[in-house]
Amino acid sequence: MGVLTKVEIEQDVAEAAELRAAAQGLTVSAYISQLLRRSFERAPGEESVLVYDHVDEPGAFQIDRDKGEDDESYHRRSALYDTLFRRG
Amino acid sequence: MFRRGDFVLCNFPFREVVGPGPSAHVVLCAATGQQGNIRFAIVFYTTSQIEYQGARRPRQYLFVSKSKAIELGQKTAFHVDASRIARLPVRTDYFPEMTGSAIIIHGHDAELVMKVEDRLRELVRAGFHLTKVDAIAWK
Repeated sequence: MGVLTKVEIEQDVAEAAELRAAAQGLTVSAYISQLLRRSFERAPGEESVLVYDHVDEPGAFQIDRDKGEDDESYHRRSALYDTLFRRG
Repeated sequence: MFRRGDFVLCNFPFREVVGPGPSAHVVLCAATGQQGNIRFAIVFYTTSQIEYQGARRPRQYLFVSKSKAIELGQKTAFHVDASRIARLPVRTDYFPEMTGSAIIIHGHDAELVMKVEDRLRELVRAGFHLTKVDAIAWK
């Protein structure tokens, strides 16, 4: 967590946040920060699929085949993820 | 090692922050694979909180009931978000419950992955824009 700052929110909201944060094993600060960061990821009304890619490696992209998976299923899945994560 | 259909804890990234997210969160593993020397996992975000804009649940969310969630080792009902998907290196900074090549599995449902993948295809066909949140481009 980065530098903290103080904000004022309504008491009942703070209490609800405290309960939910505890259920997730988070501090209230971490919980509220997480909620806000997720909501900031899209503009209001934006309809998008957010595709996060943290793999920085050259070479062929290949997903693992499930045990007993037929070619059709595997190729269909491969095509989906290739579309999402293909580079260049 | 985990596989398609497993629920695992993950420091799922944020759009505006470089690297792994700051806290662990349950995700649904859709696939594992290899690129060059890197093992990766493709995971869908899950959440117990969504905004209902109107009477209907936004179509990117697949609801998992409390009873099903308990079967899957979760405490409460949740949603799998077909509109947030990440490809992440299989390392402890992204998957904090890894020890060596082992990881704690919090549930498994391979059929749910198929449903989420189908929903993702529907979203793309319906015109949802694919927004690449590319950690590599930040370097």
